[in-house]
Amino acid sequence: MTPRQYEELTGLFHAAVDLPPNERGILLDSVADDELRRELKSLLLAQEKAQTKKPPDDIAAGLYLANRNGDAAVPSLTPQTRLDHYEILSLLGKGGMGEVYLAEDTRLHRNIALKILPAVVASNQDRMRRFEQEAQAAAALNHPHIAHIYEIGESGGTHFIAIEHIDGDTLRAKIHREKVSLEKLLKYLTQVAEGLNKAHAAGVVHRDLKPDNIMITRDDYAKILDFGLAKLIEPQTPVGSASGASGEAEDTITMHESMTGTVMGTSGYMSPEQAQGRVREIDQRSDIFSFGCILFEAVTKHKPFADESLIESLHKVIYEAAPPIKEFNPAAPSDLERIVRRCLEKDRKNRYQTIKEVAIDLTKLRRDLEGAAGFNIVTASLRNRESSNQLGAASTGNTEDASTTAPTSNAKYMFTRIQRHKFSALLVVAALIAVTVAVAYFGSTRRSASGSGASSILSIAVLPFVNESGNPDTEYLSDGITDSLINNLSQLPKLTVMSRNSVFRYKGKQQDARAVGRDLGVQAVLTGRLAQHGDDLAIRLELVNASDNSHIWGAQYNRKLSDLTALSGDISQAVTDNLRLKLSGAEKQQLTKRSTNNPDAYQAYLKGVYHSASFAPGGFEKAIEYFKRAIAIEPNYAQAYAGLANAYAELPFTDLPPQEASLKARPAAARALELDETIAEAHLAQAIIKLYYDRDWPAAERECRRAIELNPGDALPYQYYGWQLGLMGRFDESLTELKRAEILDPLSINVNVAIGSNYYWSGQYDRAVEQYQKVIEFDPKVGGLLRLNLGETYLQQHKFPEAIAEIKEAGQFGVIQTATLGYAYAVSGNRAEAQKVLAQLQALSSQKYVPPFTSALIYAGLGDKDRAFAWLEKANTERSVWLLWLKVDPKFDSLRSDPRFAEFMHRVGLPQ
Amino acid sequence: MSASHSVTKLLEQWNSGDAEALDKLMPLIYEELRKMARRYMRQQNSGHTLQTTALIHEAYLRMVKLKEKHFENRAHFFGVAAQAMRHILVDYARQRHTAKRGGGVRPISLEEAAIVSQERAAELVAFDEALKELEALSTRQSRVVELRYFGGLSIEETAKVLSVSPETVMRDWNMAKSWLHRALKPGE
Repeated sequence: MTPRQYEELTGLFHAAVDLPPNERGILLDSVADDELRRELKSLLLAQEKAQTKKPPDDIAAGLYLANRNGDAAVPSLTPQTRLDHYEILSLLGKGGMGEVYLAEDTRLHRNIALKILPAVVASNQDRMRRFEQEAQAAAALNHPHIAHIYEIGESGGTHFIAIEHIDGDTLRAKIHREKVSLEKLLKYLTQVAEGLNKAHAAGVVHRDLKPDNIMITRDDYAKILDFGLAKLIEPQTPVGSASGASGEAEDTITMHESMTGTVMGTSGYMSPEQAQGRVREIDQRSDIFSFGCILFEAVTKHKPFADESLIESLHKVIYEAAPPIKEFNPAAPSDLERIVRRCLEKDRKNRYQTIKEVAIDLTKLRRDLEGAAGFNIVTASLRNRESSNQLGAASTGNTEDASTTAPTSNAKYMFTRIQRHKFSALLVVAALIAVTVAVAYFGSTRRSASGSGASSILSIAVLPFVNESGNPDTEYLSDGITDSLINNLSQLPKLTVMSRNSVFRYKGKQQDARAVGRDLGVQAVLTGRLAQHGDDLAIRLELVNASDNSHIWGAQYNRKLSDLTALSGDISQAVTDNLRLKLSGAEKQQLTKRSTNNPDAYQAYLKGVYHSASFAPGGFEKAIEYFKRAIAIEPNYAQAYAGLANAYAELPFTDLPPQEASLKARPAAARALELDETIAEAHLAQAIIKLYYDRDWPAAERECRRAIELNPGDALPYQYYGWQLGLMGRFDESLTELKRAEILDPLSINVNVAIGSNYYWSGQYDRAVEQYQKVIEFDPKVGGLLRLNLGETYLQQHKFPEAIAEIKEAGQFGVIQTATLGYAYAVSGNRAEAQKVLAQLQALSSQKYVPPFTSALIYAGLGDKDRAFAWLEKANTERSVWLLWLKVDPKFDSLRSDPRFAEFMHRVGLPQ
Repeated sequence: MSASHSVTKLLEQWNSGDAEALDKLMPLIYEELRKMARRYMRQQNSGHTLQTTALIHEAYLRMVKLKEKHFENRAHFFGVAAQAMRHILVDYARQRHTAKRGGGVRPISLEEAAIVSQERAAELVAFDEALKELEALSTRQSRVVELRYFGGLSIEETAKVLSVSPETVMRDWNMAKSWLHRALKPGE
């Protein structure tokens, strides 16, 4: 056949297929050329055959590879099949990763989900080994928002994973099928962020986060599935492949979806680095991108990078910005837009660096919206849109979940205020927002945990009990009982309890519960009055619903002083009962756990706590005395040892040479931990010891993390950890921790000062000044460290007179204040004054301990490097705690370029 | 200059009428696809489908750095890649086919051979032969098959690459399929 003939044949063929089959015969008969007719006839026949085969697009689907390892099919299991001690009940579903069965754990008699790995996946030993490592890390994650992996096992050649069985819907169904309010969706996503945060902290990246991998349980909890499973289907990074020309091409490949037979990237939640196959670049920030895609979809019901074809969609992921949310939902708040944008940055360096920041921003947003009735706007507009556009799932404007502290005129005021002064909100406003955030964060995310519906109260402020006897000597009792109650209650993950700093501001002031509730953003307020007559104690308590000042519960406790040890446990239990919190057995036990049974020891301990919290001159010394007394009475009093360790650990900043403090703090902390490893405070003391005296940064970090783990509702561990990260120059991480502390304890001066320091160390002097000024505006009387910090920040801005004024304002801050003043004189050109301060300090050192660091500081200011280094050496000989600042403090910038500096830092054991 | 830069540039040159650019493009894309297919094989166990379409998609994402969506460039890339893919697969199939019969044209590695299964090797070689015959009769029809089959292009995309209407592609596809079917399964 010639091309010409073929062309003719083609024309006839098309003409024939356009005809109905029964009329084709006429056309065939009209073809005069015999050969052509025969050809046409057989072609038409072939066309029918070809038609009945696979649709054409499937032909392109691929070519089967040789089967080297026998049958690659997934084993299909029938009910009652046993795998180890699991008995198959039914098939739950089939996915890219094989089949999932509902099964019974016959040992523990509970239902679980059993994921069967396809044999082809399991047969790659290398891959399995890597997967098992990953799965082990994932299995170690214990978090309410992560589906628990119970076991990875193998039975008769079948590899399986036993996972917590979750009865509920996928997030996809919640977004698209069910009528779920945006508020609720954001709540789920906040929970997802918390779960991710836990995983990321443990070094586990999900890699395949999508709404199908998130389950919402029947009692409204989000749970992330399939951590680390993506690794199974992801290609390994080629090791030492030397053949290629382009290095970039060599280490990147994405065939993972194609391997499982689904099309690459269908999920539409992949990050640009994953879409481009840059396996080595996948990290927690890739999950943050996926999270942003889900957030986008929750708000708009659309995927951000959707397109007709896969390649278009991937192209969008890599190169194009997601459309504005407002395009789909005009009423969407700009803050939400901003959060989504930051998650969806193409370059992972521009994204949120940690999911924790996302969680914080989300909770803030949720709270703001709630306060400004923003949810109503958002949901209403979505509803409108849906009625006209059939947009799928609608929000119901469901307010069942809304916090009862919601819209008040005050909250609205705050909201508009923030809008107007985004970057200069006063601390008061910031603090109030932060408190309310805390409620949104802990309150609403934990709401479902109580299982007792909308009526349970999940946040509380325990106001300092009023000491009715008016005798200052019994103040320790009213304060102490308040303190122990706060401590007891804050151990309950379900309940948000205002931290001590925030509630003690109300001490001695007449308070209206509703006003307090509004200011602190809590749902309930507990007040108490304590009267002591000799050995008799009378405590009257009132629990008030802050939303309407209604009385929830009241009681009077008449006790002997000797019954004191059980008192706070009893009260805590009564309070939680009346808040209608359902507690687990372990929680109840924890709540009523007594630190000691000896009332005298307990009283001494309370006095110790009272004095160490007073921050009055000599407070630590007094505290030490009482803690020692408590220990003398009760030698196994773990809490008292922890208090003692902390008090000692704080001393070297003032009057005690470091080694001496170390000698005393160390055994106290060790003893406390030996007696009870679960005391967060003892771990903090240990962290300080590790940092101050051992310069063992990783160990100090571990201790901080452990303290956070043990008491996640307490601001102090976050504050310490944030501060420590700042000293190491890890400013972003530091800020995240400090913000966490701020949420929990918004009125804390220390937390706010630490945030200012973070800005100062990272060279953001304007922000630092702004931060310090906010604190001063909030509490004009504040002095000490804050003034000192503000002064040194002014120095960096070359505002010398202001700087010197602030440093003088710092008041009783000991020799370090004097030295900073000397430094300020030196750098502002007043060398004579600086020399004078030097002489003063040296004279003083003959009378009492003066840290050599102080002289080093002034010499650094004077530019006398030799002497500065000489004094630094001296400071290092006694392991001065002040050297910990060296890496980040700009006051030493004049020495930094000197080769001796790096060498010195190294010897001191500062992180490089 | 990295491969991705030159591919992008060559596509643009070709697009603005530089026919030589195509000659330079072909080996680049061919090499990349071959490398990827090999690496893919090293990493996988058997029993999987090598999705040529996915492979080409990935090659595109890796080799072409175009910030703007430029459909012409993409269509051209896919056009070249489809041809390259065909050569790769058929080469492997042919080698495997001959290897089975004891012939040793040139040694190939196990994983390369494994890209095409024993059973499919003969089929693929025959398919390639038939496609060549078709090419002699109608270049455009054989191109349609190449693009659809090896490149995974849709009717519309194929139309773009060949600068014809989608209807023409549909007709070509229908005719070519029937012709190939008859050529490969004469008994049916």
